[in-house]
Amino acid sequence: MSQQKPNMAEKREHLYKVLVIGDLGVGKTSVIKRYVHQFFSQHYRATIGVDFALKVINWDSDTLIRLQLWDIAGQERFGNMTRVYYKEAVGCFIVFDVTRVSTFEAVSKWKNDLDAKVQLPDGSKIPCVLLANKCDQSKEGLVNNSSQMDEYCKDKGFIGWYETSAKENINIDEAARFLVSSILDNDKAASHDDREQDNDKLALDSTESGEGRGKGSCC
Amino acid sequence: MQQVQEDEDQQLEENEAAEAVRRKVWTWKELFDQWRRFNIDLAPKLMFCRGAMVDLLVQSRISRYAEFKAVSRLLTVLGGKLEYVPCSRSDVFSSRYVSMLEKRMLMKLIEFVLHYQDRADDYEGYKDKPFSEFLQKRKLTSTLQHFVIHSIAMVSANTPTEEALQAMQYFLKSLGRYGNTAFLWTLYGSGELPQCFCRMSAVFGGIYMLRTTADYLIVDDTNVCRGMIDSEGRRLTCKNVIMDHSYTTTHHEGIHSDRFVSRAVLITDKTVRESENEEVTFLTIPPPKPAEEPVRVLEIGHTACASPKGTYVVHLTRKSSSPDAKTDLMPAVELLCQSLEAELDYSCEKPKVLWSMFFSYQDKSDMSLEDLRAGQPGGVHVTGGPGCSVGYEHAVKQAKQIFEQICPGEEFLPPAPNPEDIIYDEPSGDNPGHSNKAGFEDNCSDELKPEESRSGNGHQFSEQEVHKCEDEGGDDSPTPEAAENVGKESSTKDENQTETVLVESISKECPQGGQEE
Repeated sequence: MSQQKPNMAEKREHLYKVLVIGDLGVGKTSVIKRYVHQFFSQHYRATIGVDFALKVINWDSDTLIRLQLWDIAGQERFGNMTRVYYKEAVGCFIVFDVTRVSTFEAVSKWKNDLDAKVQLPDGSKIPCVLLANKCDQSKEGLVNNSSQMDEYCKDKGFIGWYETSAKENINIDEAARFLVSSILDNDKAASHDDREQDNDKLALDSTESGEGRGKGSCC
Repeated sequence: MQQVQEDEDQQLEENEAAEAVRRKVWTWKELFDQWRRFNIDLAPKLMFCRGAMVDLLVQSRISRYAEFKAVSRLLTVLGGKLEYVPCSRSDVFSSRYVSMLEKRMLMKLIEFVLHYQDRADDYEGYKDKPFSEFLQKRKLTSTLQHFVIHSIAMVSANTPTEEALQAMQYFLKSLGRYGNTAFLWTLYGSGELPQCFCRMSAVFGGIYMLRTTADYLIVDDTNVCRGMIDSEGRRLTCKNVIMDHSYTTTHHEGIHSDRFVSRAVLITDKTVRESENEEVTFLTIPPPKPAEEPVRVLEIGHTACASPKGTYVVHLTRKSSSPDAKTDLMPAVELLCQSLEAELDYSCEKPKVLWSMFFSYQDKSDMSLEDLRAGQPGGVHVTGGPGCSVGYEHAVKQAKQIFEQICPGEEFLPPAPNPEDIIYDEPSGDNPGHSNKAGFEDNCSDELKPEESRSGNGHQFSEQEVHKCEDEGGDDSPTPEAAENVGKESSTKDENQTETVLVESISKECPQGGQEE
């Protein structure tokens, strides 16, 4: 799909920040790597040095989406994130490991932390998709019963859930597509409101990047 | 004639009625329902646009985690009223409070101060004399002296001239970089900055623990700190602890024991001075007598992400010699706002205080690091707290000093790679982690890979460190001083070869074991 390059004149670009959270070792980084870089590593590797991964999606002939997938960077150990990590996110994946029930039990804790620290500009909750990862392995708990999972998601405010496997490349693209379409819907709805745009906000690096990079970056 | 008078009266009544309708009366419940929209700093600070904190954020690329807003107006109290301080060239020329003659004087002074180092002759005899005498000699009127001393140089009349010139130059150089005033405000509050540093630290393996406090230090028999016990009873191994002086039990006999910062936080229903725009306001209330201390006031509203629409958060800060914030600040509160006790007075234009809080804290910001850590076990570093300075200059300086003590010769907060520049190498084998350079590969939870978990030859920032305190000692201190962590974490980076290109280039600056013996 990335081959198609129609008239670029009308192409709209969107930049979306999407969070990937969940307990230690559930496969968050594997999911990101599978989705963004199309590879999977069996070996566990803690996430160091990665702020976010970028996925560019040619959504349709006139929409280009740049998806920033924000890695939790090892902060899941204590189940609490600062607001800076969450802020301005427009979508979220919460991941658990189907082989470990404790990671599923933590899901609602993550969802609460998320909803407490970030909302869409209109005050509503950001769309969140639940990923039951490692579904190529034997499942434990509620995830064996899909109607109960549907119920659970409705109850906790997830827009949907997917059984995924980063290893076998199952459902990851589907889950992402589902989340992105929800983000796009929200975005369309929001741009119809005459939402206040604050043009006085400053981002220091964009105005001063020349100064910033010139210093000490050569080594 | 009579008729006209009556009409006018009626008009006035109508206006008052309309005003009464316009001015919202807030209930406690309405405020409480919006609690999430309040961001209240205990020690709010501004960034000088060309100051140390801005430079640090830009240089380290930590600025990407935060957004800022220029302080949009500077006010002062002149003749009991709030007036604009002209600080830029255009302000000076458009100011109504400054005569033609004064405009020329002020512009000449500004030109001089920007280059005062090259013109030593002009202030030679005044170097150590009070700034007010120097301004007197330059024949500045009292209005101009007021602006210059209190709002531009932000010193006192008695400050030695050279020091005041330096302060004024610092201010002037910050003008025009990001806006019309010299200051930036961090959206959502100064409390965003430690979060930004923590995020950067986390990306490189640092750990922060929210809702956890440090309760005890673990000290060995040579009086060197080996770790701490947190509020959950966990032992954390470390070689260095950085903490605020308020955590220490020493009282620094006699040193600065009479220095306090008096603070007030108000939530009000309108701005201190009406404006067409939503302003971020920085106001200086000069002291009634030259020897006393000014009150610095910061007013921020919903566009600064400090409060819900229609309300403002007003911070008052003043240096003091006693821990009695209410006595120190009440006159200023009464100058700016309607009486705290009375009901809302519709006829009064001043803001109504909906909620207020007064508190004090000890100010040890002027103490040297040596004095601050006197009596502490080895490996403990003590900071002097926020003090009452307007900007972060002192905090940045102190952080650098402590970093230098812990990581001598290392670069302080080098630029982080841009995430979009990170290149993931497709691994040649199936398992990129299974090289003999283990590094972080084994950094997993106990339940996952217990047998491998300590086989790495590098530092491991894993739960093992938290639960066991064995040989290795990951020196992670859960302090907000993320600065320390960043350098430290990157010291382990050369293991991480398959990960990135750029990360490596940074890591080489911090050789492995920069922290170790």
